[in-house]
Amino acid sequence: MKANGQRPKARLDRWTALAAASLAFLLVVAIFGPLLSRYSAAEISEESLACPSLNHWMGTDIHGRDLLTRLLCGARISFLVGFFGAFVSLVIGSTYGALAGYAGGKVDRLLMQLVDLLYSLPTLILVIVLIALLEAPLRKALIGWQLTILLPYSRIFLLFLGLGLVEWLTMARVVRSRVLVLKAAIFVQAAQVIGRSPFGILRHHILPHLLGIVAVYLTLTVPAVILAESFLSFLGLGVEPPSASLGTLLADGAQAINPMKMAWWLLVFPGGMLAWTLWSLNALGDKLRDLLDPSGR
Amino acid sequence: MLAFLLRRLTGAVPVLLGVITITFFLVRLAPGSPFAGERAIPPAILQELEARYKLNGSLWEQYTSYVSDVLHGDLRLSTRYRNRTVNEIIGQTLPVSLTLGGSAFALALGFGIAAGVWAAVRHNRTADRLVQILCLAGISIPSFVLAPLAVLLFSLHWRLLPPGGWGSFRELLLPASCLALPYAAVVARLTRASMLEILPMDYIRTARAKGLPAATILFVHGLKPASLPIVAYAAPLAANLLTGSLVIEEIFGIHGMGSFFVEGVLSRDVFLVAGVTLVYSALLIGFNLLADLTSAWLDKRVQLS
Repeated sequence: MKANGQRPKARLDRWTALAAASLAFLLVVAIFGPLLSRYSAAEISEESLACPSLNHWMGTDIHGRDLLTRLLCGARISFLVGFFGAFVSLVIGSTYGALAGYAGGKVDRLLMQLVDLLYSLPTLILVIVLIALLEAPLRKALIGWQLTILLPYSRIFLLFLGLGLVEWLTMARVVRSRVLVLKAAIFVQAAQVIGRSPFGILRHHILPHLLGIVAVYLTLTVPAVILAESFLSFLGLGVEPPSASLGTLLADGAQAINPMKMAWWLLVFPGGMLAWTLWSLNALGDKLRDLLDPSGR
Repeated sequence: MLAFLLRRLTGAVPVLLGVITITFFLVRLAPGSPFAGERAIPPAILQELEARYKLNGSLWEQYTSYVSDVLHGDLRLSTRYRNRTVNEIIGQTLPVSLTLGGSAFALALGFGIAAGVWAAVRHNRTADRLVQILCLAGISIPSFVLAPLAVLLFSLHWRLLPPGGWGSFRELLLPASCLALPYAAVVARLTRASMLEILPMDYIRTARAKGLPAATILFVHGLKPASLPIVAYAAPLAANLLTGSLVIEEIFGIHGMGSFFVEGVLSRDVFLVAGVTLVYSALLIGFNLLADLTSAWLDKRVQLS
């Protein structure tokens, strides 16, 4: 639904170019930034709660750690969770949607009813329960398998999984409706007539036509997962120390608010970073959706 | 209509039963006892505790007896907050969360619709651009970024509003606005897009030609059909506001259902977690139903099926 019923312009406008550029910038900075920094993310110093200065561009936190370095590492973790969570949701959602759409009939109705049902449940609540409760068994299993080096990452792994399990619903709906259209297309019917197997048809005729739309919704899922992860981390249920995501940093910043000494930088910089990341991902995803999927919302 | 209502309500029963089952087994099967944490408890006392909280017997027996209790309206005792029943806790905290969520809902819809209509009327003028830029900002700034910043500015720097607490209107203002703002941006965007589709239509031009007052045209002829996508968004909006209030309650120190839920999850409080999850789900199913009914009422072409 575009304003005035106009077809969206087929070129990328200035805002989208800006969003793409800033996303690229954020990614580069998150990947390489921590390597260039003079400090390490966990390095404790005497300068507790120092204001932003030439030495510490974004100031320091209560333990004297350099906020800029922590922010870059946090962005890294947030992107990581965002991409992997979105990937999990992509695998589940597109398989599910393709299956429902291709099977059709009763199977389709049943599968999509389950999606509707999940839409009407407080999914984030279920993820909180899931993550908080699966952590201990996962840790035990890791110790049992002699994989203790992975222990600090158990929470992050659960976040990939839990958030992926929540965010696949829209993907499933979109893929299903696209598959329904494709199934009725003449080239697919022709393939059926010459006796290709359903798997072959899915693989060679339907999947290639899904890639565009899946890519678009993937770019919209990444910010949703990043947001959900920050939300959980803010509550202390997500990424845990010594790792830090943007959400954990924000929670630290919120803790540091008090009327005596206002450490505004602990709040403003992580908040700004999160908002900027979400904006560039959302702006890009929205535009791509308008271009490739005019039927969507 | 009545048949539809009945069908949906009976359809909700197995869903809620599923929610109870999933949460009960998740919390019960996860390692860590709800009584752990303090000193090591002697076996005799542990047995007594388990009997008191009905956590003895096989898992299946525990489950069936819990379901039967829930069906009788008893959500049992909380293991974290000893001597308080889950019914009591929910009874005290749900009104708080509903007041917060409800105010945020009203703010999000009120501001969102107003801004959206204004932008649509002034299409491609400065006001429209302004609303669009604000929407973009609103969508990108989650409430848990907004809320601490708002406390910093309004409470600590300018000392206009209290930084926390619950009870008075002044204390409600900041948390409700912070919770509402990101969603107001979405509502504004939806309203703008949908008004822009309605306003060029012939019947609007007819209404103008008849000389009807501009407000009547805009709000009765324009907004009523244009509000369908907003109504469709209202149910997920309610869901987001309910879960979003977890964080807002934390920041402003409000003792709503969310803060008890998080505490309950962390301390393996089986019945509190199961009870609160059940309430959340029931509320959401209710909101979805309400949204369907409202859209049928707004547009007679919408079929209730």
